[in-house]
Amino acid sequence: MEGRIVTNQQAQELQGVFFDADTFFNFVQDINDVYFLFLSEQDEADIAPTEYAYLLDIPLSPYVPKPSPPFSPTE
Amino acid sequence: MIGYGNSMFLATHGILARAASGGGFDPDAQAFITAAGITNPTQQGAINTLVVALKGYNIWTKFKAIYPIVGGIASSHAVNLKTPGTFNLTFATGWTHSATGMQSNTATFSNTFLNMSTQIASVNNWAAGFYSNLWVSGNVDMGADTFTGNFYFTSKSPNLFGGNNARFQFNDAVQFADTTGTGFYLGTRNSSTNGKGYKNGVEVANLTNSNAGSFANLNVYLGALNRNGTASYSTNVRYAFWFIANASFNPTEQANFYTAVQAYQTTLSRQV
Repeated sequence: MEGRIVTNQQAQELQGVFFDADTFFNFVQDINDVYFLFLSEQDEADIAPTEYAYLLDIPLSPYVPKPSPPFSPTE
Repeated sequence: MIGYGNSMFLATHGILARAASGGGFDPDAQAFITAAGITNPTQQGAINTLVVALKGYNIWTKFKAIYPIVGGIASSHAVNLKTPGTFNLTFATGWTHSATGMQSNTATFSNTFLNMSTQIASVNNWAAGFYSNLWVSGNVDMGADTFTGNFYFTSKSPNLFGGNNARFQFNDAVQFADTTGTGFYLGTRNSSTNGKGYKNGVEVANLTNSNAGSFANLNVYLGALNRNGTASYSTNVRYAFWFIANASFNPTEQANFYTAVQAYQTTLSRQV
């Protein structure tokens, strides 16, 4: 899986910000606590005409997820 | 003819399609069609037939939210069929929306803004579920949890439970075998001592306990679990229907519900 790497500041400023009526930016940290942004093709098309279009210029980088924490208290 | 539903299906099942006065769609169907911007005649007809069927089966009033995921774009998929404008979805980046549904990517989620602790009258009388038509990797399909139980629903999740196992959780978890990870999943709590899980109209899980627990004071997320306010355990699954109900489903009701939803998906050529 690949995504766009952003800075901590970018993630903090844009987390939860809507770029249209229905969809908001969501950033996910990888195994090294680096923030990634994952966009579908529709997301990209919707972002392109907005003030956030600069995000589309960020090249894609491989993403390694954090190990999942125990699912329940007993696992 | 548009506006009269799938009369053959409904007639076969003893439910006559009815037209709203003036020959248009059912008014609830029309309200959704307008709110979701559905212009495709096949999709409009499918919605109308679905609503007419749910009312004909006397289960329409059970629902708090129904997301029929039709229209192919986020703004259409967001709309709550039961009460457009209330509990409409928002989407984190990463969902792929298409005519066949909405697909997650292991790093996204959708917010229903439906907090079961305030919207569901009784922990002993409710239901929730979804219809999926593509499974890539499983995790938690929907839920809200404070790490002490509460509610979540997972289809096939080898990552979580090993093998081809799925779970329906309402305080205690009931696990069931699930080899495909696709289909119509319904979980219901129907009394103070029992809950059941169904897949494609067939009972797959039975839980007998005397403590239904409590609902987390959190919004239900779709495509992931809302764990203490953070989206966790996101799936890579394509979904074509979701619902949350403020009442349980008995075996006949859940079978009828499945019949209606399966007919709906078939009309849209995205059934499994």
